[in-house]
Amino acid sequence: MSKSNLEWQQDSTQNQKPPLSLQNVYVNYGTRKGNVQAVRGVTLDLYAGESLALIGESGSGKTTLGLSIVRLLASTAKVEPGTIIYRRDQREVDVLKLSTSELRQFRWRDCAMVFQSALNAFNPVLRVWDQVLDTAQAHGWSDRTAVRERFLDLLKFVQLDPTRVINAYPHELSGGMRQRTLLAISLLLEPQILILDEPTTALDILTQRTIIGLLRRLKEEQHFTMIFISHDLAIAAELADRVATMYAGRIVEIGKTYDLFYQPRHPYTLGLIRAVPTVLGGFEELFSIPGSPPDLVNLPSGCKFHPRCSFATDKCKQQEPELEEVGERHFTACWHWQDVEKELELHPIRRGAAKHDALAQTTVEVR
Amino acid sequence: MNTIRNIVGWIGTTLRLLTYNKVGFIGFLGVLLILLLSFLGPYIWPIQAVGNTGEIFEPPSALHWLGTDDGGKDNWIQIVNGGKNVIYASLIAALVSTFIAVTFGAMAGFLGGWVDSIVVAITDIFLTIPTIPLLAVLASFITLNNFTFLGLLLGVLGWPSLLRAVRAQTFSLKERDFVEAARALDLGTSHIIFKEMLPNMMTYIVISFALGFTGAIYGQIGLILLGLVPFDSSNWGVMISWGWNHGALFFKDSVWYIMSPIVAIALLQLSVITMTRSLEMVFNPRLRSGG
Amino acid sequence: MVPIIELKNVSKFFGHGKERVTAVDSISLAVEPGEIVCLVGESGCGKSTTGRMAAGLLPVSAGQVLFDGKDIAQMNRDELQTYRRAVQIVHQDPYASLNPTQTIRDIITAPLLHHKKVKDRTHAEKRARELLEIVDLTPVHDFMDKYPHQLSGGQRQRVSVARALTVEPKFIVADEAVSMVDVSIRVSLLNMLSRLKNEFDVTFLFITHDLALAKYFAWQGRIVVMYLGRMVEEGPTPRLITDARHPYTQALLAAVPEADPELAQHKRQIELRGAEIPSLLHLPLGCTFHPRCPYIVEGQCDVHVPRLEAIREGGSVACPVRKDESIQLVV
Ligand SMILES: Nc1ncnc2c1ncn2[C@@H]1O[C@H](COP(=O)(O)OP(=O)(O)OP(=O)(O)O)[C@@H](O)[C@H]1O
Ligand SMILES: Nc1ncnc2c1ncn2[C@@H]1O[C@H](COP(=O)(O)OP(=O)(O)OP(=O)(O)O)[C@@H](O)[C@H]1O
Ligand code: SF4
Ligand SMILES: [Mg+2]
Ligand SMILES: [Mg+2]
Repeated sequence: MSKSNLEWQQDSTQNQKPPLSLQNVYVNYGTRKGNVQAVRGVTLDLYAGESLALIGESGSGKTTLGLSIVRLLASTAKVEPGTIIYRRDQREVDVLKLSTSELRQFRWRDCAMVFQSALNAFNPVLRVWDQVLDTAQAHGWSDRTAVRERFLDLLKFVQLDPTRVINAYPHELSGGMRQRTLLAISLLLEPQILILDEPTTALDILTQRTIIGLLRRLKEEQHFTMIFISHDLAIAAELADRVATMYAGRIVEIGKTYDLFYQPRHPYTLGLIRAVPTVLGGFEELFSIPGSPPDLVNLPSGCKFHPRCSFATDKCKQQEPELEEVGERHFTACWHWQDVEKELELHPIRRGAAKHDALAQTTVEVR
Repeated sequence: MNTIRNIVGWIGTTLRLLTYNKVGFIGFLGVLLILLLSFLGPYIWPIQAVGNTGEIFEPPSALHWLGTDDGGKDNWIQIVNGGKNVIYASLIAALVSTFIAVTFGAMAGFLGGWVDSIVVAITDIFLTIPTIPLLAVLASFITLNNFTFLGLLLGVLGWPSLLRAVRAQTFSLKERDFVEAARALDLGTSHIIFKEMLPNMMTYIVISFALGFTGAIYGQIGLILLGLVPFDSSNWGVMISWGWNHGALFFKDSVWYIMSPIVAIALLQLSVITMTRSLEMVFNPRLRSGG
Repeated sequence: MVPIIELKNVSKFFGHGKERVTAVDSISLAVEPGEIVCLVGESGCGKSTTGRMAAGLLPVSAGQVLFDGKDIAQMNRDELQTYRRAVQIVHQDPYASLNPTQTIRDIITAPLLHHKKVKDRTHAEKRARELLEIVDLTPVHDFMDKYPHQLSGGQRQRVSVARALTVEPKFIVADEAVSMVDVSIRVSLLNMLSRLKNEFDVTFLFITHDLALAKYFAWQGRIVVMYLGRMVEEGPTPRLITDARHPYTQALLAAVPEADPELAQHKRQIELRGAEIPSLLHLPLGCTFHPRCPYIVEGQCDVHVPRLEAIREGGSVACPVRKDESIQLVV
């Protein structure tokens, strides 16, 4: 691949201020049934060169949070209170205060988002190239040949046949091809931050692997700063440096990927991990989380997870816990995280570590 | 006893559902009022054989609510007495066309194959029949003064487009998972058609019925205006036609006479159409919030 | 034992002439009573089509479907009726599989009454409550008068299962029955299905594109891997997962994203020669996987259609080149 032609000015210097800082961000949707509290007080720093995964069940507010960063929320949404500070080259802005024209610049050049449904992101009657050109021109980049050259390179980078894709209509591309094309377009203006909403959901397994491979290259070779949004824990395990678990609009746990997967401190994170099977990890017993996700209009009192939580006490019913440091760069919002720790000492998660003996055993069993 | 209680309960629920949508409920009340006036009103305000020639083209007053016509007859009385036949014929037309469309459309869609081919062929033939010229030809053989017959005629000519829609809906419903599940459970064809598919088309059928009804009203007015239906009774269409032919548009005086039936028809149409919003609520549980 | 359901060289074609596609190509599969068989493969490989043919909901284009050893095409009315009711299906989409205009009560009692499984309405009601309890929809009285749209996806799937149970089936085709349900409640659904297998002697044909789910659900059973309408490999689940032989199965196993960072790090990647899945309209000759296969032997793979051959370790593989070669997927 001719990735040598692609230059990204990514700063991976660590002792810089984080390029993105969310402070106490709230998002509400006004609906007929009432106020949907989709995001409730999220505070989050995204460091340069890191990839962060936002995981959680359907409706936990992941997409809403992503959309609030690029300010593409539906008009019924209200983002308030909160600040979203974006920093680049000594510049520091509050995204929530940007004007429309500043926003347009911000959206593709600073922070690009690849949407959940790749088909809807395209205009069905325009060829891929026309859409690319529109995007570039909207950002004052009118040198057609330069745009074309860069886009062809990007298509090669995402392992697509450039000449075929560039002249195609969206419906002529398969789901995986559309997803990759979208990724290429989002890289067109060299954004500093890339937000990917469910980048592999609804794609076939082999295509998912291709996308994961590409994103890995972006991460490892280009040190791109990325946020992955997914309900699929596997995306976090495969791609993230840090993982944040969302429940009912809140980040309930955040930490380094290994810590979160093997030393979770929040009962919900633990529940998710114990509910999801691996393929090559031998046979594992799985447990489901009782109950169902909360109604965001009428949230339960106290800790929003308490109706489903096996660690819950009366305190959980009354007071909502805040994020608390439980390890190195590891935060959890749970009154009883120590109990989770004890539980894990008794029944540790040893999937990855257990793989070799587990596999050996099963093969013997069968014969 | 139990059945009575069930029926009462059902009526209660339906009425409650009707009130869910305010606009729709107003429409429902409007329809009710117009029906009452048209079918019971004539007993209170019987038709006048002759007018009072001393009161020609009077504007509205306490005595003549909608004024009087060129013969001194009261407009309100004419409106009250002029709805019955038009509404009756339109109801028949809507019933007939909906019945034909739903029965054969569902059959064609559900059974497919040669049944479908035949139904589609007949529908296409009917679609190409020019209605008005056909009626004109018919009118020269038979006098169209029987409103039952007129309704039947309009109904028999009015079903093709609804049939096509019902057929298309049936086709798509047939492929739905819950219909397949009913097939797997061996619940039988009549259960599948009447319990699984029809209830899911009810909203659509009701709206089509309403549209068929309003369409039939226009159809009749058109026929009357064209002179294809003899004027031997007084109804809204005849009033419009009469006013029209006597230059009501140019005489300021007769504005009350010609506007009365036009407004009556418009009100009826509006009420019927808005009422369908409430009916949707009855037939589509997903629209009921809360609960 | 006589297989409860057996497919013999079953094929399904859709469309005519130039547009004709072979969605399922000569599949043979016998499911023993009490067995769990899992059909896996990527989108469009013919899993649902196979399942619907097994359930008698789609006529076969060629081949035979046998129920209890009897060809369903030769059955008389009564036998056909028995077969119909003995085989049920649970669909993927919890939003589409229940009639939105019926309450849960209507949905469950209709088959009970129609098939005279109960004396009257009162008994139907009672049985419906029992069934809802079996699928863990408790407290039952909260659910009886609800409409499907008032339930969550997982609850709807439970209603689908309860509805299937009304006719006391022997065989259930679960077509992606848990794929659209949130991860946190998936496991309890799967466990509920497993319980049915043990308590009610239901045999499952479990269809999924998710290998991890297949592994979990069918650990005691068998996995069948399909590619472009054909069976490419089949075998007891532990063998198929740990010692897959067909290059396509291996590629799938290697490609599945793992919900475990350690495994994700240590998984071996298999490079395929091509990324595109061929269209069903223009299937490659010979082994349909040959254009993508890293182990292709020219003159053989692109000419001869490989047959499923049994292997010593259990099951069978449709790849003469690689059927005896194990590879390590975790390094
Ligand atoms: N435009 C909108 N108007 C009203 N409510 C909305 C809107 N968009 C989202 N919501 C609600 O906000 C909540 C959070 O939605 P969001 O899409 O952010 O969740 P998510 O975590 O991305 O879920 P998924 O995994 O299903 O994509 C949900 O309850 C959703 O129904
Ligand atoms: N009724 C139909 N008419 C025409 N083609 C069909 C029909 N049903 C299925 N097909 C085609 O047959 C092939 C196999 O479809 P099938 O639904 O069995 O796949 P699947 O393995 O279940 O896929 P998925 O994982 O997406 O559900 C597909 O290419 C599909 O387009
Ligand atoms: S705070 Fe209480 S209810 Fe919430 S997760 Fe922790 S233990 Fe469970
Ligand atoms: Mg989302
Ligand atoms: Mg399918």
